[in-house]
Parts: sequence; structure tokens; C-alpha cells
Amino acid sequence: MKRNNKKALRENSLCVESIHTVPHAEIEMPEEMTGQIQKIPVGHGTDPGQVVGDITASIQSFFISSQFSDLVIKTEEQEFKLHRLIVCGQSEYFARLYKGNWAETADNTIQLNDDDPRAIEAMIHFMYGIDYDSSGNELGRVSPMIFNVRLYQVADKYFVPQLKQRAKEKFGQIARTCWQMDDFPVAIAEAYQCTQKDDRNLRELLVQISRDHIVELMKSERFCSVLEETVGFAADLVTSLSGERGSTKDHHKYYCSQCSNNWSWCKSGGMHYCPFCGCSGAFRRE
Amino acid sequence: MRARHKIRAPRRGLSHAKTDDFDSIWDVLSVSLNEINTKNASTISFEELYRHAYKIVLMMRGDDLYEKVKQLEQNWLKSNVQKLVTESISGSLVRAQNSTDAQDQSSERREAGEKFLAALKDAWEDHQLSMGMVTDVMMYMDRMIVAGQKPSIYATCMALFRDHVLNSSVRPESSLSVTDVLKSTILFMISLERSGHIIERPLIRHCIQMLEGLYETPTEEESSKLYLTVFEPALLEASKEFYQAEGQRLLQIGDATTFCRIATQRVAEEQERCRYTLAVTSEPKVLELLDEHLIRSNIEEVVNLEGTGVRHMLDHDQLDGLQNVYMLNARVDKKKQALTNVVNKRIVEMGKEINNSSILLPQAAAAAPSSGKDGDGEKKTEKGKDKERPQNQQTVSAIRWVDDILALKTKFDGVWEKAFGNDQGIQSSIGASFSNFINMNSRSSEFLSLFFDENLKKGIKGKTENEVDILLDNGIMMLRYIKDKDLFETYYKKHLSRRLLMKRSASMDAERQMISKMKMEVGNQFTQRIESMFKDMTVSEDLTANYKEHIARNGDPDQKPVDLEINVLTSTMWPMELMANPKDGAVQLPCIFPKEIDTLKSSFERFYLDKHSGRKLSWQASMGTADLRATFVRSTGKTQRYELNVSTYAMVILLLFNEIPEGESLTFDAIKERSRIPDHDLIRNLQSLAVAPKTRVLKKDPMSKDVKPTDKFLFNNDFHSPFVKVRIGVVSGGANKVENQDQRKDTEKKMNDERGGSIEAAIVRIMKQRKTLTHSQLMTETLSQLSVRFVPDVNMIKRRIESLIDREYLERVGEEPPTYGYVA
Repeated sequence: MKRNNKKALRENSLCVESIHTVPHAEIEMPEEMTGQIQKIPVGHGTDPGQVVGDITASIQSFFISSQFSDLVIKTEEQEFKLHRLIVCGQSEYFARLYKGNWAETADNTIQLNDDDPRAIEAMIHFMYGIDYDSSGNELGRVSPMIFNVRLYQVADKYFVPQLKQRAKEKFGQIARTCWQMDDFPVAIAEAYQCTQKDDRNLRELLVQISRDHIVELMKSERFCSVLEETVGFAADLVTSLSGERGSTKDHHKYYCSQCSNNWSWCKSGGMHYCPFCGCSGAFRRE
Repeated sequence: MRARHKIRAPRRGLSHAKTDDFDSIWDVLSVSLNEINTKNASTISFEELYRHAYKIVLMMRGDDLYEKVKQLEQNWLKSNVQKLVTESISGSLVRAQNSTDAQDQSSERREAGEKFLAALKDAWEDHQLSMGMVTDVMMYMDRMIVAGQKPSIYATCMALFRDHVLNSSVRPESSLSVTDVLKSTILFMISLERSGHIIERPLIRHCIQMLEGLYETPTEEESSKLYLTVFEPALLEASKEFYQAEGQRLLQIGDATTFCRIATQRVAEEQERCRYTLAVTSEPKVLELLDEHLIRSNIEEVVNLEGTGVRHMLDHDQLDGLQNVYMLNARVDKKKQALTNVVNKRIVEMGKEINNSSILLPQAAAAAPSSGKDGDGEKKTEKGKDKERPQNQQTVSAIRWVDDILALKTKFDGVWEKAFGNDQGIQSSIGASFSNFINMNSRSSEFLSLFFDENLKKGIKGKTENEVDILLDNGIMMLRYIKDKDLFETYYKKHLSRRLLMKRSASMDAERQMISKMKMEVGNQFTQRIESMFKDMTVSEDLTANYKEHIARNGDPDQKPVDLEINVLTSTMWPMELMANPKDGAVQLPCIFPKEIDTLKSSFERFYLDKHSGRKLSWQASMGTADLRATFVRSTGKTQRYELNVSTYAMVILLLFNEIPEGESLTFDAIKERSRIPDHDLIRNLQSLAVAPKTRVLKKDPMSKDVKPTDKFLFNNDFHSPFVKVRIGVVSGGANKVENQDQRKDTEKKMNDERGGSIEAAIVRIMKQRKTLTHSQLMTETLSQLSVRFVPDVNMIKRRIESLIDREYLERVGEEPPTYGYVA
């Protein structure tokens, strides 16, 4: 009996990969399985005392029952009765907000109107350890690729690093298989708009996939127009295509013993003479 | 995935604000930021502010936002905060800057200072709070734009406070900055506290925390803290001046106890001040200054203060004071030189007193044996002894010398334990001092051995094992201090042999315990001979028993048996002067024993030599005793029997009277002729038999104390004693006591001869091993080898080397430096 319990726990934990207290949280779950398990806590988690010691389950049950709620997040469509301890623990945004003395802290209500309500909903679920369905829910269906971009943006804005990571992974999976769909160019446009230049997570993925399929993509009118309009994307793509995207991983380091100079050169190009003194035998790869 | 979207995002734009929106957004933001600065944030929505800032950053205008915020805060600080702070600085505070140490207006200055500090503290705390909120709102900007290139907006705003509040001028045209006033105000407060006032500590603590939270450079290295760059140097300077003055002031009071008490207090105060009012990091620095200027430069003088210094404390057992001195000295000097010097000096002084009194006492006549230091329990028993044997005044004083030293040692051990924290260094230096004065007394070895003798004979009676142990340990401890251990060995052997042969030892267990203690302390070689003395004793016991058996089996049953208890001593192990007669030159013929005894003697000789051939037995009659059963015929015709315990010589003398007719007398010369007892011993024995009032077995004619060759002796039939067993001791014979001048010279001479042998042996040992060695090296090695036993005289070593060269054990192999070689 006990053993079974444990097993069930383990399975539960697999779907809530962001909660750090549970080991093996990083194990990838096939998409459809995640979808099934996702509903389990919603089904039986109404009584918080049911699974003693299972912090994830009890937290989720409080989420569903709204018991002890001390914080309300409102979107244009929904209202979530939440718990500061959980929310602030996951997001530095809320942690900082509650540190100060603001209008929000007075009445415990935070209005988030500026973001996609579906993304906010998914983010909140994620905070409580409930995975999200990329294709939306009964309140509205969206393109999974675009949804993950938006989720990434929301996670970035509200400082939920684990969600960022999760969104990026999911996005990568989808984009790699569905790059020829019409929403791929839209995803490019959105991703480039809502993230920072230094934030390479999504951009790297997009550029890589585009480069791998450049020939096919160039046939798409939409892709071409995105290439034209999205600031930075074209430049990133060109750099990537030329094979010289600044990463030193692909480079060898060289040292010339004649002139004591160091330099690095890409692995694909052979080195036959020292670029500084011109000798051909006195340098070596390190 | 079937969704077909247009390229434009379907929802209301996330970030469609155009560039020209920056200004309008900033307008909204700046109003809110000002609200935050005026502490009106509770009506502002965090979400709204954050959203605006986020938008601006997405617009890639993060840098502009950063600059704008910075500008806004700078303006705020300049226009509001700075004014607030400078206004709180009263005119008197500004003026007080110029007049240093204006204690006269202290209360006014203090009030003004507190007002200023409070204002500054409030300004700083407000700034911190609002900057925290601004930073929270600007979190996205901070993360995305600033990372790695610029200091965080928080750090920048803190720097603004430094530049525009702290570094601003107090008055528009004044060169005095707020920091200057802050610095001098805090220092003023500290000086108030140092002079005993109570100050507003939390206020200062807050201002110090502000200085600790601000940095000179944007990179915020630890070393660039304003506290370290601005305040601490001034604090250290002020502390230095204060403690220099404090040192002078306390010295002028001239009381060491007060000095140490206050200095100790100061240390605690400064520790507390640094921990709770200033910064922990300053603690070691301030204390170092205190150590240097208050303690290190004065301790020597304090310790030596006349009438109140360490000497006074030692004499009056002021342990608290001594402890303070120790703590202070330990702060500044690992070796505690100042303290150790005085303590050592005092020990040697007191030790010399003891030495002197041990010499003076016997001369001060037997009547008043109280010149020494006041003693403890042991003293009383000694006084009792004084009555018993007034003639042994010198012995008593020798034992008192040891007791006094032990008492002194106990005293200093107590001080060391209670006041000097069981300090190793001090312990060894105390030990050195004791060793120093103990060795000043040339008779220390003899005295100590007498102390052991006394205690092993009588002192340990009625004491528990533990007490005996402590007593012996104390003695051993003194032995540790004595340099000439070979001399001690000689005396100890001499005293021990008397104890053993005359059965005076109170407990053989204690004797053995003593030996094993000595063995541990001084080493095997030292106790070897002493142990073999013990061995001789046990072997002799067996021998006696065996001989008894032998007689029982083979002896002539007719003859009246004379019990023999014999001790066969190995001559090299026992002190020779006991056996050989001190009269030099003339060969002393062996004593003539009575017939019965002579038979016994030869019977034993046969028995012994039968077992151990090749040995020579020489009989030492001077050491033995005999039990006699004597019959006295009273004039009434009655007979009275007594058992007499007498020395061997006395037995010989008494038996002579068996051979002459009743009532006849023998002259001294006749006795001498018949017995061949040496004059010296004969006189003493006759004295104890005929002169000592209670044991007059013989009558002497004429009756006088001295014994002259012409005196006549006859058997005293009227001898009377309340006891059946009578012990007749030999006058001034058996007891161990201080040697007289001649004996000492003798011992010294013997000692020197023996040492010469030891030195030669050591030199030969060393040279055999090293083959060649320079003179100085040979000297050092010899000295170190011999130091366990005694401290050899350098000249003596030189003479021994010469002599060895003459005898061709060594040769000179080099002149510069002088070098010797070993001749195989």
C-alpha cells in the first residue's frame, strides 16, 4: 500500500517539473501523457488533509479551493485567488511588489491587463505546479507555438525563471516539427518584439531552425516579409548562415612560438601559416 | 496548430508604443517617482509603474530611462534632502569644528549634534527606503540594461546621496562638508562616552551604518567603504591621542591597581563600543592603538610602581590585581616580559631571604628559633623537635629551609594558577628563578637530602599514602631545580645507608616510591647505585635466613647460639666514609671481638665464602647493633634482668666486663688495648654507657662528662630503668645531620674527584664517536652531556682535557681553531 502511494507521488511529481523539492523533475514527459496527468490533482485534490506530507498536492488543493487566499490576481477575463507564499516564492516580481507599500498591497489585488490572459493563467498554474496545455483550454484555443512565445515573454516580465525554461523547451519541440506552419513566421515576429536583444534563448532557436530550413522557408511569402520587417532577425540569420555566430566553441586556439601570439580560428578552416609572422611551422594548436 | 494567423499579432499590441511615447511614459513615471520620494507611494500602483518601465526597456530605451531616473533623484536630493540636512546643522556645531575639545560647551554641542545626526539618519533612511522602491519598480531595467555595464540603479542612487548630501557644503560658501561635521560630531560623542557620559548609541550606530553602506567607487569594493576612507582614520587618530593622554593621566595617579583596573575596563569598553556603536572591523585596530599607547608604553612602569606595583601585589596576595596585570601584559607581549621580570626578581629576593635565614638561624642560638618566615603546620612539629635535640639546630634549619622554599613555591603556584592563567612561559621562568636562588645556596643538595631523611624517618608517620605522595613530589620538584644532582646523590646515599642499616626508615614502601620518583625525574643512571643498595639489603635478609638454617643443621648444638643478622654490602655502591675510618694515614687494625662473637664471625665467613668464592668480607663494627641480656645483682642480693640494645662496640666493651672478676674496674687504656676500638668510637660509646644519665650501665671514676685515658670504669650493678628493654644510643652517632666544616670539605673533595672521572669519561665518549673536534665544540658537548647530573666547572674540563692529552687518549691536531683528535 505504502509503495503504491509512493509511486503515485512520483508520477505526480513528474508532471510538476518546476517544483524543486521533488527529485527527477527534469525528466521529459511525452506531451500526451502530461496532458492526462495534468487533470489528476484537479479531480481529487479537494481535501487538503488527504495526502499528508505531500506539499505539492496540498498546495494544489488550496489553489483549487482558494482557501487561505491572501492575494488576488485579476486579468481581463478571470480572477485568481492565490497565496503570497507561493506566488512570491516563484516570481521575483511579486516578491518585490509585496516588499513595498503600494496601492496593490493595500487591497491585495493585482490587475494584470496588459498581458495575454491565457498566458497569465498558464503562469499561475505553473506556479502551483500544474503544467499547462500549449494549445489553450476551453476558454480559447491558440497556436501552441505562439502561446509558448507569449508564455516566455510573461515569464520574462514577471521573473519566473523556471517557466521561462519550460516555455523555451516546449517552444523548441514544437517549432522544430512545425516550422513549415504559417504561425512560425508570426512566432519569429513576436519573439523578436517581446524579448531583449541579449536574451538569446528564443532567438537562437528560431535562427537555427530557419537556417536549417532556409531553402524551403524562403519559398514562403510570410517568412520573407518577416525577414524584411523584423529588426535583428535578418542580421542574426545571415550571421548564422555564414557559420560564424561568434561562439568560440567551434574554434581552435592557436599559439605561435615564433612571435608569441595567440589567436583562434574556426575548426572548419585549416591553418597553414601564422597570420602574424607568416611562419608555417612554429605555431601549434592548443 | 491549424490556426492561421496574420503576421501582425492578433491581440492588442504588447509593445506597440512608438518611440515618441517615451516622453509621455516618462512623464507618468516621473510623477510617481516623486511621489515615492515624498513617501506617498501607497496610492501608486506597482504594476503600472513596472509596466511603464518594462515598455520603455522593450523599446530599447532602457539607458535613457536609467539616466532620467538618475537625474530625477539627483534633483530631489539637491533641492530637498540636502537643504534639510544642512539646516539641521546649527551654527554652534559649525563653530565647534574649529575649537577642538570644547568640553565647556559640551551639553550645547551635544544637543546640536544629536539633532543633526537624527536629521541625517532620517534623510538616509528615507532615501534608502524610496530607492529600494524605485529599484523594485525598475527591476526589469536593472536586469536587462544595466547588467555588467553600469552599477545598479540602487548603487547609483546611493552614490548620489554621497555626492549631493554628504559631500555638500554645510553653508553655501563654506568649505566644510556635511561629512566633516558628521565625523567630528561622532568623535565628539565618543569622547563624551569615554569620559563617562551616556550617549545616544543607536543614533550613532545608524549613521555609522550609513557610512558602511556607502562606497567611494561605483564597483563597491570593501576597501572603498566610506566608513573606512572617511571615518575610521579620524577615529583611530582620536583614539590614539586619547589613550596617550589617558596613559599619562593614570600614571600620574601612581597606583598600579587602579591603572590595571581602568585599562582592563577600557579594553572592554572599546570592544563593546566597536561592536555595538561603531563597526566590528575597527575593533582590532582600536584595540591595537589602546594596547600600544595605553599599555605597551606604560606597562613596564606600572609593574614596577613603588608601593603598589606587582611586588606589592605579590606580597599582599592581590590576585585580582595580578590577574589584571597579567591580562594587560599578555595583550601587548607574548612573553609578558615586564611581569615576568618583576616576579622573578621577587622570587629570587624572597629565596635569598630564606637562604640567609637558614645560615643565620643556627648562629642565632638555640633559644630563639623563630627568625625565619612564619610557617604553617609543619613548623610546629619542628619546634617540637627543637626541644628534643637542641644540638641539631643546623639540621632543623636545613629542613626548615626546604619547607620555606616549598611554602614559597606553593604561594607562587597559587598565584600562577589563579592570576596568570596557567601560563607556560611564566611557569618556566618561575622555575628558573627558583632554580636560581636554590643553587645560590651551596648546601642545597645536602639540605634537600636531609629533608628527605627527616621525612622518611619520622615525617611520614601517620600520613596517608596520598599525603606522603605529595610530600615526596614536592621534594622531587626541588630536586629538579638543583643543578648539582651528583652532590645530592652522594648525600642521599649517605643518609639512605644510615636509614637502611640502622633500620630508621619509617616505611620501605615510601623509600621505594621515592626511588621510582627520582628515577622518573633524573634518570636511570642516577638511581642505579641507590637501587643496588636496596638490593644488597634484600640479599642480606636472605643470607641471614640461610645462615640460620645452616647453623640449625650443621652448627654445634652445645654452643649457645648467637643470632646473627648480617648485611653484606657491595663496597662500591655504598658511601665509603661510613665504613672506612675517617682517620687518615694510620692503618686501623680490626677490632678484637669477644670469643663468642669471633667464632660466629668465622663461622659466617666460612659459610659465605663457601657460596661466593673470591670475595673479601671486611667487618664494619661501627655500624652494627647488638641485643644483650644483662643481669644486675643488686646489693640486696636480688637480681634484675634487662635487655640492652647497644651498638656493636658497646657490646664489645660490656662483654669485657664478663671476663674480669666482679667489682673490678677497667681503665680506658685497658679497654682500648683489649678491644682495639678506635679512640673516637670508644669515647663516644663509653660516654653513652657511663655518662648519659638514663643509661648508666657502667660507672665511671671520676664522674665527669669527658672521657680521659686514665678514667676507670666498672660495672654498675645498681643500674635501674623503668623498662625491661633499654636502648642505649651512641652519643651523637647515628642521626643524619648537617655536616660540619671539615666533613663538607671532605665531601667536596670527593665530589670533585668523582666529577673529574665523569668529565673524563664524557670527553672520551664524545671523542671516540667524533674522532676530531674543535675545542669549543668539545666543551659544549661535554657540558650538555653532563648537565643532567651537575654543572661542571669549565676550568676543570680544560684540566681534564690536558690530562687526557698527557695520558695519550687525545692529541692536538690543529691550532687555529684548537682541535683535538682521538687516539685509538
